[in-house]
Amino acid sequence: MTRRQNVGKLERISSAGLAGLLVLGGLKQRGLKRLLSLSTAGFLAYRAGSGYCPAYERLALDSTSSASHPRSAQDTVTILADPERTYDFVRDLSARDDIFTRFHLLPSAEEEGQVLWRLDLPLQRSYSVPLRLVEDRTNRSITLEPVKDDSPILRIHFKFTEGRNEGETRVDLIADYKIPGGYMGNQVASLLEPAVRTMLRSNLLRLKSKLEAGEIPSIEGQVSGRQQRSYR
Amino acid sequence: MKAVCWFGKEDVRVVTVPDPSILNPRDAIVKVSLTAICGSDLHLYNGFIPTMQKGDILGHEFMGEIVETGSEVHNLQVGDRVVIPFTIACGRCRFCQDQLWSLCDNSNPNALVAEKLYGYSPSGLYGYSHLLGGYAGGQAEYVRVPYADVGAFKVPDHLSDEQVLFLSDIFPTGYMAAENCDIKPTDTVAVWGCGPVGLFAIRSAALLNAAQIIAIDRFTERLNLARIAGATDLINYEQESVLEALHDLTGGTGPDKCIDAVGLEAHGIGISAGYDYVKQKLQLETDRAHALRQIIQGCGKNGIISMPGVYGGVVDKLPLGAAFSKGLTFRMGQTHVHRYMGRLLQHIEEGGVDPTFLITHRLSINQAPHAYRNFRDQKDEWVKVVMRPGE
Repeated sequence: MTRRQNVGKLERISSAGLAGLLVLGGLKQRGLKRLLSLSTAGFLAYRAGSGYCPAYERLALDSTSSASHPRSAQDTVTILADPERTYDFVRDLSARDDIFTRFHLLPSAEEEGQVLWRLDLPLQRSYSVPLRLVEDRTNRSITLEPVKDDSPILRIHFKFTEGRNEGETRVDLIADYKIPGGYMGNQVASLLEPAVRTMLRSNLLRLKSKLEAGEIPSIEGQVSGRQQRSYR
Repeated sequence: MKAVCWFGKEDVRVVTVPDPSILNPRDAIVKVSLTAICGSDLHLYNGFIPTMQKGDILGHEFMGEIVETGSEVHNLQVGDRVVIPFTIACGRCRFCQDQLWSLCDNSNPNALVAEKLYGYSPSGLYGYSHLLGGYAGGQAEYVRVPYADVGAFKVPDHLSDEQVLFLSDIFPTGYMAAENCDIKPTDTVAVWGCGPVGLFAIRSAALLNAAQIIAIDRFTERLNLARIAGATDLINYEQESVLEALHDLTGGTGPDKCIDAVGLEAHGIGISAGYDYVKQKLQLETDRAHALRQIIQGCGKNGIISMPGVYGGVVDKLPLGAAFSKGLTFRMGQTHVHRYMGRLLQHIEEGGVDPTFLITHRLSINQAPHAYRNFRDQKDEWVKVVMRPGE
C-alpha cells in the first residue's frame, strides 16, 4: 500500500544524513546501544526514502508544503501628541534613525520615500531589505512594502487614530513577514514572532519618549563601579 | 570620583570611578553635598531586589549643587542648590501631567523588562536595579540627573542640607502614605514600622490632624522617636499582642486607617513570620508579608490600608477574605515625590516639621560599607544615616 508523503524534501535529506551518522556510530557500539542506533537509523532511512512519517500522521503534521505562510506581528502605543504631529514625525523616516533602530535610509537612494529595513544580527552582521512607501494617508496611515518580491518582509504599516483622551494618538505598528523554506520556514517564523513583537514594542516606546519627553531615556555611557581598575 | 557600589549580597564598596557626564539634552550633573541610606537600600544590600549588576552605584536620597547642565535645561544655573526626587520622571507624559510622577511613561530605559514582570513599567529610579532603569545613584561625589528641568528642586540657602535632604524621599513618602489614608479629625491611624518612613508617616498623620496615632515597632529607640513625631500610643510587638492592643486602644473597633511602613522584609513572631522566613529561604516567595497580613486582620471595617513599604515580587497567604469582608481599600505605590516637595518645604520653612529629628549618624561616604552593615543590624541605635561625599 502506498502511503501519502508527509515529510518535506529538506527534512528527507536531513533524515538521510542523520541515518548515515547513526549507522557509522552504531557499528562502533555493542549490545543495546548498537541495536537502538541501528533501529533509529533504519527508521530515519525509511522516512527519507519513502517521504512518509507515521508519527507526523498521528500528529496531523505535514512538512511537504513548499508554501511559506505570511505572519503578522503588531503592537500599539498611545502618545500624548495629536495625530498631525505624530504622523509628521513618523513620516520623516529618514530622520528617525534613533527611534526605529531597524530602519535606515538607503544611502544611495535618492528616490522619495525609499528606506532600508535593517535587521542587526550577532557578530556585527546585518541583513537589509529596501522598502518603498506605497501608501501615505495624511494623519492616518503609512505603508511600506519591499522593493523586491522575494523579501521576507511583506509590509510595514503605521496606523494613527485619536487616543482615548484628548490630545492623544494611538499608533499601531504592524509587520507582515514570511520565512522561506515551506513548513520549516513557517515554524521558524512562528518561533520568531515574540522577538518581532518585542522589536516593534521597543521602537514604539522610543517613538513615544521622543515625541513626549523630547529624548529617549538612556544609561549608555553611564559611569559605574564596573569601570574601576581594581574591580574583580 | 568616589562612589558607593553594589557588588553582591552584603557586599558594598567605596570605589573610584570616572566622573559622570551629560548623556541627554535634559540632563544635569550635580555635585553631591549630602546623601543618605534609605531603608529600601537594605533590600538591595540583602539581595532581595533582582536585576542588580556588580558595580551599580547606589543611593536615591541625595542633594547638592548643579555643576553642569544639558542644552535643553534652561531653568537651572550652575551653582543652584537642589534636592533630587528619587523617582525619575519626564514631566510631559500623561501620568506626569496628572501629578502621578512615579508612574512616568518615559523614564525607564528598561521598560520592556519591567513590562514583562509588572505588565506596564513604572518610572525609573536612581540606584535601584536595572528593572527600574539601571540609573547610577547618588551615593557618590557626582551624579547625572536626567530630566533635570523637572527633576531638580531648588532649595533656599537659609535651610541646611540636613533640613531639606529628606524631601528627596522619606518625607514625601511618609506624607503620601498619610495622605492616601484620607484622614479625618476623628480618625485613628496605626503605623506599622517606625523606621524613617514610618516616623514621617506619623509626623504627617499629625500634620493632617489625626485624632489618635498608634505606632508599632519592637525597638525602644524608634518608639521613642515615634512619640516625638506625634504618636499618641505605642505598641512594642515583642511585648504584647498587636491585634489585642489595637482592639483595646480603639474601643473594640480597630484603627480606621493603617499604614504599612514595613514592606518586604517584615520581622515578626509566630507561625506567619516563621512561614515567610522558610518560604523566602526556599525561594518560594520573594517578599515576607507578615506585617501586611497583620494589618489586614487588625484594620477596622471600611478601613484604608496605605502601603509605602516596598514590595517587589510575590507573596502568599494574604487574608483577602478578611479584606473583602471588611470592605477595605488598599492604596500603594512609589511616591510621586515631585508633587509634594513644594508644600513640604513650606512646612519645614514654617517650622512645622524638623526633619533632622531622626538623624542618628553623620558619616563620611568612605564609611558606607560599615554604615550599611550597622544600619541593618543595629536598628535600635541606627535610625537614619547621612553621609557627606566630600569628607
